[in-house]
Amino acid sequence: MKIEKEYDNIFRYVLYRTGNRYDAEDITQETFLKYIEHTEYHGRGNERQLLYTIARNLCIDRRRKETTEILPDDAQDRNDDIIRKIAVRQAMEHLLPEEREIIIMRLVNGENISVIAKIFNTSRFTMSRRIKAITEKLKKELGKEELI
Amino acid sequence: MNRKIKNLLSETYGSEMPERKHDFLKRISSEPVWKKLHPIESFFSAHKTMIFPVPVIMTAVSVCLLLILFSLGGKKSPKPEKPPEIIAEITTSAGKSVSTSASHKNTSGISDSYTTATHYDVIASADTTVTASVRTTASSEITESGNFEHTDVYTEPVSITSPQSTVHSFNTTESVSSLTKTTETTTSVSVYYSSFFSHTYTTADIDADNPVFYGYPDDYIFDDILKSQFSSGSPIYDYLLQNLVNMLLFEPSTAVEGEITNLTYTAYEGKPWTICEIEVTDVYHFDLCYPDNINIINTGDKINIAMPGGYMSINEYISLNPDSTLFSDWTEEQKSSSIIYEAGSNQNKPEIGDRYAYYLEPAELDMPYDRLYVRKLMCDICQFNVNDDILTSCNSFHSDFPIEKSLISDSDCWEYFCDDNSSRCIAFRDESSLLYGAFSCYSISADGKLTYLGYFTTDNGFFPFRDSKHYNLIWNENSVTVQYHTNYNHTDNDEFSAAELSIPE
Repeated sequence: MKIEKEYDNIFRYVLYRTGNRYDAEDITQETFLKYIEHTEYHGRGNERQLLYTIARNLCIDRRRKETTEILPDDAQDRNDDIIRKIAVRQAMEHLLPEEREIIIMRLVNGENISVIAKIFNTSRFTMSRRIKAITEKLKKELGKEELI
Repeated sequence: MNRKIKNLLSETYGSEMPERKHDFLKRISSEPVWKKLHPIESFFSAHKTMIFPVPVIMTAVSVCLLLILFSLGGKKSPKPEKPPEIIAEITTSAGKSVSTSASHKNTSGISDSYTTATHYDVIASADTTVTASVRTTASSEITESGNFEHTDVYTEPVSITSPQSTVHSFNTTESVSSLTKTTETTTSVSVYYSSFFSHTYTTADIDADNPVFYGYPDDYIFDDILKSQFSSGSPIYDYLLQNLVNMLLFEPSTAVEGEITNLTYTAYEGKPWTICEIEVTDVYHFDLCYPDNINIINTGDKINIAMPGGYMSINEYISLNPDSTLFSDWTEEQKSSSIIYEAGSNQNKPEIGDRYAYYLEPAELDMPYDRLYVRKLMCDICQFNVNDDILTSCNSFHSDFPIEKSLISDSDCWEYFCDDNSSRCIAFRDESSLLYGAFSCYSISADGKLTYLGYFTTDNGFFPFRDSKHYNLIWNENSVTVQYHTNYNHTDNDEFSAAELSIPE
């Protein structure tokens, strides 16, 4: 597990969960501090799962019920890029919160299905089926937004 | 289609980067506990081209133990009295002779690797194709210390191309008629073979004279296979097959069988890759693919499959793996004149003439090959004899599954349900305990022929039940409707879920 790469993944996940960049930075750092402190969990081969679980719990602790839309602050973005991103976010809003989490982990962070399954305490094959169903659902929504 | 979704999501969410990462990592790097983490990072940095997580390392150790157990009951080759002798001649399109010498070097570190040193000259040439073959005799043995030393025999011509300026060449004895210039040199050549995970499995019940099934599971299901082997007693081939089927059921992909007709060793972004050209011998039909993927490849087509892993120089390997200690005691001369075969994530080394089943997706690699795919899974084609009947597995999603009815025993894998008023029956392939919830469905004709109808799954992943009250069959003219309860504790008033499966003509 490369700490630096996982830092980026955890940050993206937390940012998605909290919707707030400052909180996301704080929670991400707190996640890694907690991970580092608990040396008894190191070397077991489930580091990524552990990081996601810690991050998830910290997000839940923050008790953020609503996510706010974050628009990219890159001033170089063209208008159609911004519109497309907004449309993607709107399509994602039609998923359940847990479904959005799963899709972010799988398709954005590229996490292994077995890692995601362990985080959500389900079997790998159930998670596979679930991801397929979520993808189908998202595809329909993205189709409505005329993105695919 | 999934790729489009992935790209959209990555564009929308994947571009967000933390701003305080470097300060944070810098701050904690001075803390004592951080230093304890470094060995893990260094280990994976050293093996990053192999891309294996810790569980696979641990299971690879288990694999060695497993193979020792298998090997103890099997044949052993005699220990070679001298190092592998490899006779070689060089052929290059540039016509440059290469002097070589041989030496043999045992190595430790990776428990299932062996090495012999090889020497070659790097020929600087742009886009030069070198065709050569390497032959080595070798043997496998269990050493007294219990370490498994695996050596390999390969005699097929290999073609090495490099889009970069460096070409690696081999010395071989077999002249390749396709080249216009040849130069003969007789020397010994050997290749360092590095493979973190290169084992195959057989079941003891398979008749050794008949082709056997080798399953190559993806790494994350590998640990379950090991557990299954020792706990439930399921035959490995059946377990592997079910894992493969279920992995594929939920990812849209193209599945083909094909024979390797050409191998090209090349480099991409500094890492060795192998391009397998295959001639497609069969295309799987299963209705779980997205329709636009099914007909993308036809029987008889030639396609290319890119696989990570291949040949590279030792110095190139070291530059990509600066923390590796594999060659720390080699001299500069040895390092600069040796090559390595990096198996990468390949579980076996592809050879020309091999037939495999491949589950593919289009490759998004900037490589100059037509019809280029990457493999999601690759497995051998299974065929074995049971009481002189032929059972073909790994093809269970073919439209016809020729299996004698007598072979369907009271095993866990099959259930039968007959319509009381009809001579037709339907059989479910019951997935193993880890794979509950998905039923492959076949009809059984009066002469015992099984015809694959399709598959359906329960939403909540319950076991398929051995009780006819949980199923209801409605035979239509060209289809059968399977009504089933998803809840084991259902009442008579609970509604059925239903799947309509077409009966092929």
